[in-house]
Amino acid sequence: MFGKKATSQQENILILGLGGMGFYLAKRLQHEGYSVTAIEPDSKLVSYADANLDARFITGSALSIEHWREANAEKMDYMIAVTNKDALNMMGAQIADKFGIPQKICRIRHQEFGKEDSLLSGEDLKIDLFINPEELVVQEIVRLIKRTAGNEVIDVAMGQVQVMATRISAESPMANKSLIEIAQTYNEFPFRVVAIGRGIKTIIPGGRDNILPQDQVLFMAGREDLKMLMELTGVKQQRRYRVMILGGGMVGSLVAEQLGKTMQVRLIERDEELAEKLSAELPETEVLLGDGSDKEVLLAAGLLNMDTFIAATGENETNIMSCLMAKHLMSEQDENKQLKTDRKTISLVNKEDYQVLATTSGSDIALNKKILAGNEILTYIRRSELLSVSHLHGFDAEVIDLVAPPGSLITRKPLSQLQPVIAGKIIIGSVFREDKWSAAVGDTHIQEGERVIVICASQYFKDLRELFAF
Amino acid sequence: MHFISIAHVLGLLLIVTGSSMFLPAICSVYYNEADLLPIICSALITVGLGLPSWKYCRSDEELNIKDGIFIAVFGWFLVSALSGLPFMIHGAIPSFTDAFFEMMSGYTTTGATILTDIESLPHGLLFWRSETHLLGGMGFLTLTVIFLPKGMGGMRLFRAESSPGQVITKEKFKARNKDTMIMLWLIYLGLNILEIILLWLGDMPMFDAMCTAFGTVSTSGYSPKNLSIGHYNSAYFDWIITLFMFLGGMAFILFYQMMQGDWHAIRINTEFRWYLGFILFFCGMVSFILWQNNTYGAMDSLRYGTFQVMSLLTTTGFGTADYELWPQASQMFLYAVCFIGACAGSTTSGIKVVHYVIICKYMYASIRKLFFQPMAVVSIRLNERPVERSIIDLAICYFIVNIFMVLLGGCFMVLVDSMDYVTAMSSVIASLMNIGPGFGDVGPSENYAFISDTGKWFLAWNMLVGRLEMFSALVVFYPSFWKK
Repeated sequence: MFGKKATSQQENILILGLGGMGFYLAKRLQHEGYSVTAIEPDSKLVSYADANLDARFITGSALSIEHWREANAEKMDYMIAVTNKDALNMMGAQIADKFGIPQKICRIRHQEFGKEDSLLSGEDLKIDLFINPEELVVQEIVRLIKRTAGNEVIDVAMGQVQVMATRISAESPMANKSLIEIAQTYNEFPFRVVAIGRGIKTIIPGGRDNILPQDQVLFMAGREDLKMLMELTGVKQQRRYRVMILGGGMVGSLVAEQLGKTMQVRLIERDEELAEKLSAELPETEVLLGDGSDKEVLLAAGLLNMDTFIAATGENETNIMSCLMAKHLMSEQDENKQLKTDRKTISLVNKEDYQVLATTSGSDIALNKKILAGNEILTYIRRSELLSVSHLHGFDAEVIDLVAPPGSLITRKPLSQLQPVIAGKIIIGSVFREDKWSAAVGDTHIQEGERVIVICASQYFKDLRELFAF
Repeated sequence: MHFISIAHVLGLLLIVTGSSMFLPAICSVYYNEADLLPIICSALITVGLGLPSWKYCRSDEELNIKDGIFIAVFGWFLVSALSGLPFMIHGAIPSFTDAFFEMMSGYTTTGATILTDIESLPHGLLFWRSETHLLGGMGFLTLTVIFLPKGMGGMRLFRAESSPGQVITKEKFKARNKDTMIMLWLIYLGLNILEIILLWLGDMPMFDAMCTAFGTVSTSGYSPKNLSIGHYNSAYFDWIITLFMFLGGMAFILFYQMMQGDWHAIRINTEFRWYLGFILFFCGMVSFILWQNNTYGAMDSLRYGTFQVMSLLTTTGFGTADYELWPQASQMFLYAVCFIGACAGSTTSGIKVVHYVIICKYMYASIRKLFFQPMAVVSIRLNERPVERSIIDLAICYFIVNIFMVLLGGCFMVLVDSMDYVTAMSSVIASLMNIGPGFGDVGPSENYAFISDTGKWFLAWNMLVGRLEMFSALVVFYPSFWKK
């Protein structure tokens, strides 16, 4: 009658601020079964959230202790401060500490806090986890560019298993084939297709699903086999030397600063004052003044000699469209000159609804700071149960590395019998046995305490929780 | 509309309804009466209909607000129709319309009955009749929300059933809806148990105590006796029941705050203060009039006057005396009290005290601003906090819709049934505000049996509209609601 009782205790989370980040976190945490309470001064934001989330909202300033009392702060297990002011978030941590909230997570954009050698360390500020979404995006971009191929490769399980995303062109040998056919054709080494991005949807495929041209496809393979897989899918490995960045905001300038030492970076900024400031601050970077959503400006800035284009303006639409345009300009030139270079576009998209859309329309990779920060926070909260969660940029899916706990549903039957529960939602990728990762197949029976890598569509995370009972 | 998800929820609703018939079944076994078989048959039919649609209609589609409203409106219909089965199978209430009316009146906590001789019914059916109050008092769907899987849009269901009053008072004291519901139900059941014990200590039979308590805390008004509470003719019972009507009319969040030891919140609660003020004023006036006219002695005036005012103000509808025999002046005050429900977020319906608070304050401020001090900046405060503009609009709109519904409903009743206008008006008021007895031919000593079938369906519809607090139930008349 009462259905399955969740075994985990219900953690109470208090969120300060319901802006883009706060709302996203509240939604995601509530979706995964936490009790969420949020304090936000803007009543419009509150009424919007109230209509869309099952959480409790308190309208008012986070600096008023009365609101904390109203929110039952003393009963909270986590406090996540994501208001738009660093100082307020820090103050939130102090107040939370007085109320005895054990874990405090704050968004702090300033770089001078919470580092090893900072004047104010995390201990001084009573903050357990610093989140800087922009910094996370920068790290991600730098990681992607420094990697030899511009395709997205994610290391799972200390790099022994890798996941790679690539776009299937019409000429690709895999286009218009079903997964079963592909598996029969290429059987010299094991790999699996674990997700397909198409239009604005993410598909967790079964054996009969076809791969169509223009799909963004996600492969999973062992480390040693990835090179062969890249050759197979027509991905060339090359070094990235020339990078163009659109927008000199926080992300753009930090990427320029970190890449400038080893590569040629050009940054296009629309605002004159900011452009001057940037050129003073970034000696290695060539700063150009102009509107990057303009084709002529891009061409004049030398887009055609670039091999990576990063759109990091503050507007999602500009980023998506300029990537699309850059992609077209580059490929036109490639066709004319019969060049075989492989070029990449990366866009910053901070709207979850556009994520998949961006990657299927010209951006090879679409990064979202909210999702990155959300993963960071969730991994922190779940640090006991999950070993790692990596979001797949441009897919509504996560790669999760976790251990099957004793007595969980997954350990009761072999995978083939669990198919009805997980088909189209979750793929069990590999399992760690006898000191090596092996692909999980239909008759694999996961034992308790084994490490497993799972690909899960974001909206079915709760099914995964039921499966692994965490 | 996501009909698959809707079927799932409605199935769940039927399972809850069917399984709650086991209590009356126990009752029939205990009294060894002939209604055991009808009750068991009905329970099996209800669960039998619910189980497959609950089990096989599963989809991952989130319910949207449209679905929530659809479930709220038609769920009540479905449940009322099936709950009438025991009466029809047993033959106590042979016609479907009557059984439906009786059950709708039970679930919506109205307490208007079509039974001319209540005491002739077997105990099991009487118990079932009162148990519908217990289920409906807290809002039937809130019970369903507790059992819904996560992410089925339980929140939107709650929103469709929750009232404009609750929107104003923001009755969410726990982070998750489910926890809030469980808390509310615990408070609610606790009050019921407390009252059963107190009545039982006063030597009321256990069966009567239970039925009476179910009718009191949910502010509904079915009594297992023809003379309602007047049957016992005991001051102790009158005062206990008055007390629990008062508690049932309080916002349940106040009980939660008391348990938390948060007395400050109760002190600053504007609605609660007005609620007390209304009660003191009306009880005082009616008792004073009764005493002045020598209807009763001083103590009895207070006892009967207070009981009757509380009974109408909290939309309960119990009776200890036939107030239609009272002086006209006191009847006028009672008539006025019918338009006042108790607090928002309680088990009552009708125009809540909080709506009056907002409207009065707004009226006072607007007149001052328009005709006396144009430069004044007007702010309406509730619980020491300013109220948003949209909430003020909602309160005014709610009030106006209520008045329209009463007037239009009265006209409709006069057309379909040949009755005097007092009866027509008050039957609509009594249904819409979920009170039960009214004035004229539907007074405390009469019942609704004489009304035609059309009239009964109309009144049953009014009860539902009143219980869902107007808007959700009226939205289904917008053509765009049905458009794909």
